[in-house]
This record gives sequence, structure tokens and C-alpha cells, in this order.
Amino acid sequence: MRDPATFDAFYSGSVRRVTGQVYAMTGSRAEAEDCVAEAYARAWQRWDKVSGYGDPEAWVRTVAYRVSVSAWRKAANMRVAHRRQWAPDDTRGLSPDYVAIIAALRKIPPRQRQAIVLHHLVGLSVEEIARETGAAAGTVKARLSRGRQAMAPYLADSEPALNRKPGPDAKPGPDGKPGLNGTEVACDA
Amino acid sequence: MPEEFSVSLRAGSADFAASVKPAAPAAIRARGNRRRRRQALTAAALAFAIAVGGAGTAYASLGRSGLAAAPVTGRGPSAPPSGPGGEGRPGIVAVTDRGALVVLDPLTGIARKILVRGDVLPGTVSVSPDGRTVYFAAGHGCTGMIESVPTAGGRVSVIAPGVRPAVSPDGTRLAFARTPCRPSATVASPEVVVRDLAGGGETVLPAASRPSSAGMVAELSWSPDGRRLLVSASRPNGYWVLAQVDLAAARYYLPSAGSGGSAVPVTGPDAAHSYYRGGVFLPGGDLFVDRVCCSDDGAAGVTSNLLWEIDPSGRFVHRVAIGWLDRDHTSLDGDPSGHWLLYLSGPDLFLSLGGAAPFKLTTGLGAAAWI
Repeated sequence: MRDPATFDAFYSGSVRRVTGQVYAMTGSRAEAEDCVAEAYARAWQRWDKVSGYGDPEAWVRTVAYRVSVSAWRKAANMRVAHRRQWAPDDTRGLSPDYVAIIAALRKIPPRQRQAIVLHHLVGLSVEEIARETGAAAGTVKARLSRGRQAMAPYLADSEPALNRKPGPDAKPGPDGKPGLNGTEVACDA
Repeated sequence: MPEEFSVSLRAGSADFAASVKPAAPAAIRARGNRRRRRQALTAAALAFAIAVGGAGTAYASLGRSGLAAAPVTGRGPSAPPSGPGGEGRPGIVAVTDRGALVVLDPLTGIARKILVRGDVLPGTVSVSPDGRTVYFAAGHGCTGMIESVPTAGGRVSVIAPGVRPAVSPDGTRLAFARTPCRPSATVASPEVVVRDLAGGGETVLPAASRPSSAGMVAELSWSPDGRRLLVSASRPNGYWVLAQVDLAAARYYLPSAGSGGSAVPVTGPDAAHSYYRGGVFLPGGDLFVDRVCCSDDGAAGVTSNLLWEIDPSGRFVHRVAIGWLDRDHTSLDGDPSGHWLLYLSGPDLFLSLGGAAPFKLTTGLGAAAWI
């Protein structure tokens, strides 16, 4: 039996946070809001099951992300997506650093972007990301490392920590390559 | 770990989240409910497509099974029973145009089980209210023989000479038509017989006081309370009549003064020239009828052939389908739940859910009924 009261409480308490996370993954406010609404609608559709999950918010976030990368959806909304590409989101009220991070995230591959958001924004460990994304822990580590490497050039002015060149005492990163900031060796710390 | 990066991302995301104006929870729930309905409709359409796709192969498979080569005298039980019908649609028992009594898969129309291999007469089959026994007529001498067989398969039981069996709603009585064997030069009107299945006692209703008043009995159907019979009969002049017969008072089954029966009134356009070619009671008490117009010149004169739901007073309730002008529409039946209708249009079996536009399930049949 689906209980509207528990769903409404869950929705009201988590929708803004999840939208922020999906926005960081997609880089588009409109798409994030649409995908998140669709994911919550699906959650209500099977709320009798989803409400029993240990972390319904993770379920919604995963569904929203999958909706956003759905090939069918991309094909169906190609024209809309094209227009969005040329109509940047309204960033008024957002910090310049955050806007720069979002812009940099949009320039790296989606799987790396997802791993970085789940780790640095949602706060999940490598193992938790592996469970949520269905990837192996080693793959998640690689995505995190390569994602940071790929973002670094775009954050040169706003995020020195990510732009630092490996020093002479740099330890290897998770994928065997030097860590970006010269000190990082693990992503799940 | 690049703490500054995480801090900037989290702080920015918090600011962003604060600016989000989400839809109301009720709107999201409504969207989810619409998705749920759409998926249910899609599933129903898919089941329909599968059923239609399977129909074309239904009796091709029967033909290949060697059923046609079965000897006429070789009737008897066949394969052991299989599982129940598919996805809520009741099962169907049918007589093929080669005289076999079979159980059809209700989703595909393919014969799932052969109950009797041959010599079953087309026209009518009837299933007991518990769904366990099928009554049918088999070819036997100058008249048919009413027999029964378990729907799960098993031995055939002989009941009495006759055709057009219809079992009562409580399963204790069987109505059927019987035409006495006479020399060919002698006209014999069929009788309607109500037989007690436990004791074997029979109540016989002639057509009328004069022996040549009826041509044939096409269909018999019990009212849900078991007190009345609906008799679809033709007169010697070729006209058909749908008579409601009160079993407690009837002396004859054709309507006339003092007969105890009455014709179901024909209403609607061209009522004076229209008639009911057949009809059965539905579980709710209404009738499912085949209403034909204007056949003064035989089949060539038929200008409409409509499958209607009417109430017992003849008032129109719902149009189920428009039938073919050059076909007979027989084996009208409603399932015990009242949700499904079926009928034969010529050899084609059509199903209708809730009186909606019917679809063809399969072909090559001479009778059918819901289990």
C-alpha cells in the first residue's frame, strides 16, 4: 500500500538536495529538475517497494541520473537539448567558484563526472559509489583520478588545489599515475 | 584529498539547492499515477497484440496435429489437463470445424488440450458453473446425443438424446433440444427438455399446441436465477423468435396465448422488420443478442446484423459490435464474471472485454463458450 504522507515527507525533505546533486552531474538546471521530477514520479509509482529500501534517496538519484543519460530521452529531446546548449543556465546568486566547477564538470566524461559528484558532493566512499553505479571499485578510483586530472586545466584560476602540478615527492594515484595535488593516494578517505 | 574542491562544491550546491523551486508533492504523485496507468495500458495492448498474432496459427497447428485423420468413431479423452487460463482472461472451450472439442489458450487461441477428438456437433457447448464439466452434443443416429466430459480431460459420459445443451446456473439441470425421430415424410418439431442431472427426470416443452409450429431451436440459455429459459427458435416461415420461458408456468416454449412464454420485444430502428437471431442471458440479467434487420429475402435481404446488449424488456443497453451481413453470429456467451463476451461470426471467434470493440482471437470453430 502506497502511503502519500510518507512519500510527501520524503520528497519535501530531499528533492532540493537531489536536484543539486543531479545538476552537478548534468550541468543543466532544466534537465536536472526534469529528471529529478521523473525519478520521484517513478518512486511514487512503486513507493510500496522504494519506501522499504535502506536509502530511497540514492534510488531516486540513480534513477534521475539514468533518465538523464537515457539514449531514448536524448534522441527525443535532441532539439531541446540543442537549444539548452546555447542557453546557459541562470547562475545569479551562485558563487563564482561553484559556477566554474560546474562548467569544468560539463567538460569531462559523464562517468567521471558522476564519480566526482558522488564522492566530493554527496560524500560517498569508493565502495559506496561502486555499489550505486554498478562499477568495480577499481574503476571508480580510476574515474575519480582521471576526472580530477581532466578538470584541473579548467579550474586553474578558481581551484588551485586541483591545478597543482605533481611535485617531486608525488605519490602515484589510484590508477598508478601521479596524484593531481601531489599528495592524494586514495579517493575513499 | 582536495578538501577545498569538496568544500566549494558542497557550498555551491547548497546555494543552488536553496534556489530550486520543486513541484508540489501532489503533482509528482499525479505524474507517477499517470505513468502507472500508461504502463498498464501498454501491457494490455501488448497482450492484445500477442493474442492477435497467435490467432493466425491456431488451427493451422490443429490441422498438423493429425486431428483430421482421427476416426469418427474414435472419440474419447485425450491429453491430460494443462494449467489454468492466461492472465485473468477465462478459458475457452470450443468445437472445431473438424468436430473436435478442445480447450483454447485464451490469449493465443491455440488449442491447448483436446477433450474429444471428433464427431462433436457444432452449435452449442455449455460449461458447468464450477467450470469442471463441458456439455456438448455428439452425432448419433437421427438426432444428437448430449454428452459431457471434464474440462481437465477424462472419460465421456452419455446423458440423453438431444442437441444444444445448456446447463443451469446451479449446475443441477440441463436444458437441451430434442427432435423426435420420425419417418422423413413426417414433420417433427423440436422439443425443449429440462433434465434433472442427478435423478434423470425430464420436463418436456413442445413448441406449441400444433406440432409444426417450430423449425429449429438454435440456442438455449438460463436466466441467472434459474427460473427462466431463453429460447432462440425459428418458425417454419423462416422468422426467428427469442422467447423467455417461465419454467414454473410454461406449457410451450414458443410465445402464444397461454403458453407461459413471451417474446423478447424488438426495439430500435426498423423494429417491425427486425428480429433476434439468437441471444443469451448475461450474469447480470441483461441479454446479449444478435439483432438482424429486414431479411424478407433471406440473407440477401439482411441490411443490419448487430450484436447488442439489451435488458429483458428489449431496451437497448450497449452495442457490442456490428456483425457481417452474410454470416450467422452464434455461440453468444458472457463469462461468469460479466467482464468478457464471446461470439462466433461464421467460423471466427471474437472476444470483447467489457463490451468494448471485439477482436478476433482465432478461426475454424463451430461453437465456443467460456469456462
